[in-house]
Parts: sequence; C-alpha cells; structure tokens
Amino acid sequence: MPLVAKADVNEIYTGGQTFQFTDGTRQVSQAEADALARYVANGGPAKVEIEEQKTKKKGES
Amino acid sequence: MPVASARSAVVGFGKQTAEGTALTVPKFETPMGGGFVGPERSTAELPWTNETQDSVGDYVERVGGTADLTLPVLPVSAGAILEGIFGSRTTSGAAAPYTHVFTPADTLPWMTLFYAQPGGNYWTVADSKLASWALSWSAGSPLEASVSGMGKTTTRAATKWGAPGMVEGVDPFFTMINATFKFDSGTTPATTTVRNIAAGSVSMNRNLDARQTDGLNYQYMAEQKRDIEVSLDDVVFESNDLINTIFTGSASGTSMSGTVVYGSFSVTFVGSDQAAATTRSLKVELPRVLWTIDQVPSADPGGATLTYTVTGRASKPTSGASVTATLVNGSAGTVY
Repeated sequence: MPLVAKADVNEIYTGGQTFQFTDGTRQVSQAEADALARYVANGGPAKVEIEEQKTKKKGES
Repeated sequence: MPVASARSAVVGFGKQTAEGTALTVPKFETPMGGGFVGPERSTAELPWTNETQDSVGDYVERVGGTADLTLPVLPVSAGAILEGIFGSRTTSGAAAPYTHVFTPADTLPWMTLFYAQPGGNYWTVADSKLASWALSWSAGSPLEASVSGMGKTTTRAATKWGAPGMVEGVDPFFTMINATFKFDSGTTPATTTVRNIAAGSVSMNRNLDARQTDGLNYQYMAEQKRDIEVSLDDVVFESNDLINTIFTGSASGTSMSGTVVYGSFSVTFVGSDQAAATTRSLKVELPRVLWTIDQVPSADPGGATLTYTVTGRASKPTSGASVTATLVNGSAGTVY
C-alpha cells in the first residue's frame, strides 16, 4: 500500500534526498519512509508522520 | 586567474544529488581564510631489490582529493557547509526570511569541492564528504569555520569553472559582536544568558572511514560516531556555581559527586550589519553537555584576572538532537 508522509515544514533534506511537502504531504517509498524515520530518531525538528495512503473503493463516498 | 606568486585563492562547494554525479559548477563560491582543496597521491617504494644497491623503483598506491579549509561564515553559504557536516536540513518559511535547521544525520551528502589554486590551477574534488567542522569565535572578530574533507575523484582544469549558483560576498558576515551566549551547568536546555565568554568553538568530527579496496581511489567512505565538543576559552565566572556543580553535582554541594550532571549551551550570532536575529542569524544549541574544567585555578601573586577554559562533550538527549544549528537568511532551501 502506498505511503504518505506528513510534515509541518516546507522541506527536509536527509539521507541524501530532498523531501518537499506540498500542502504538508507527499507520497514516499518505504526507503524514503525509513530515511525520514532516521531523521526523526536523530532529532530532526519537523513533526513527521508516515501513514498508509487510504484508497477509496468503488462505491465509497 | 590568480597571480602565480600570490597565495590568494577562492573556493567553491555544493551538494551533489548522488554519489557519482559531480557538480560542474559550484553552488557557492566564497572567499577563504586559508587552506586548500586539491589532489592527494600517495606513493611508495617497491619492496624489492636486485643485484645493485639502488632502489628498483616506486609505485602509486592511491590517488584522491583532500580539503582543509578555513572559511568565513556567511549568511547563505554557511548553510551548505552545515548541511555537509550535519547531514539533515529542515527548511520552513513561505517567504524570506527562511529558517534552516540543521540536525545530525547518519549519512552525509556527497559534495563537490572546487579550488582556484594560487598560480592558476583549478581543482575539483568530487564525491567528497566533509569529515570535520569547527565554528570558532573571538571577541570583536568575524566567525570562522574550519572544515576538512576527503574525496574520491580529483581533476584539474586550466580554466575556471562556470558561473556558480551564488557568489557570496563578505558583507554581511556573522560576527562575535552582540552574540548571545546561554550556558547552564546543571540544567538543560540552556536558559541562563552569560556575558563572560571571550572566545571559543563548537566542533563536530564525523570520523569518516575511507577505505581503498580494488581501485586506485577510495571505494568506500562512511560516517562513524559523531564527536561533538565545545570549548569556551578565557571565561570569567561571576560565581563558583559552575565549578561546584561539575565537581559536587550542585551549586551548593560539598562532597565530590560520583554521578554526572549534564549542562547545556547555546549561542546566537547575528550579522555584521547587526540586523535582527529574526532576519539573519546563526544559532548553535547543545542541549546536553558534560562540562569539564581541567583543574581549579592556581594562585597568582600577580593578581591577574581569574579566567577558565571550560570544555564540554555533547551527547544525545532523551528527545531531540545532540546538536542543532539554526540559520535564518533570505534564501529558500532550494539554494542548497
């Protein structure tokens, strides 16, 4: 299932990758989610949440 | 082109998108306070002999690049160096001023370093990592950063690189004047403002492990333990509270303590134009510091002012980073 990262900042650079958060969210791969988790573990100041992207099933509103 | 007989030089640097993707032009070009970026080549004598008593020859063991620089601490380019040694940057702000917070990361970015050598050689050291950084301050003076690094691939050009992303001038620069120091011996984070530190430095060493295997260059370069230290020089204390806390565990303690008491430190520098810290500033925070004083001061019949050198080692607090640098400037994160 796709992952979505939510952050309360514009941009995070960590683990060799730049994460820009449009409207506070962006889709991430598992490797990118791991890099963001390492960022948080090392004391990165942004509040970062990783969630599984909720997909609508046919018929759901 | 620099004059061959003069030691004037200029340096450039910038972060690569990945290993193996060298920058062709620097993201930043700045003046420098000394040092160099350039080739490194180690040779050795062939370990053989023949019928004569002469050396039979030599061989090249390894080639690569090295950097050992003193840089001015300028409002925008300082962020590239901080990103290179800390490894993580968090940028916020929809418009200037922007706030860039640098925190430690396990993996440092690959960088390309450039150097216009006195005499007209232009060196590029690609696939580099910064190994150490020290930010030093002294009363009345501009800040300086000492930076070392190593790289895998060094090339020379006879002409200078193309237009950099930014040529940062020297005005304004970050200065010791009107810096704000906060220093606590037994609490964290630092909240007590002090005005008695005349000089000092904060340093980080990433203890890079560079290994040569089956090639002529380093093939492997990896970060190891972070060593973060602070040194406060020529400090005049207005009370013995810090010394008492270090030795006895509290300001009012009377017996030597068998447990460690952690303190804290922060310093905020502003630009030489004295613009507000909310417009342009550099703050370094160490929320958990073990302070050390080598010895209690010796008596001096000459009556000289009693000054101390205090050193500290930062470690990881329960939450948050072991060290944080916050840079406020007018550039968005995309400049890095």
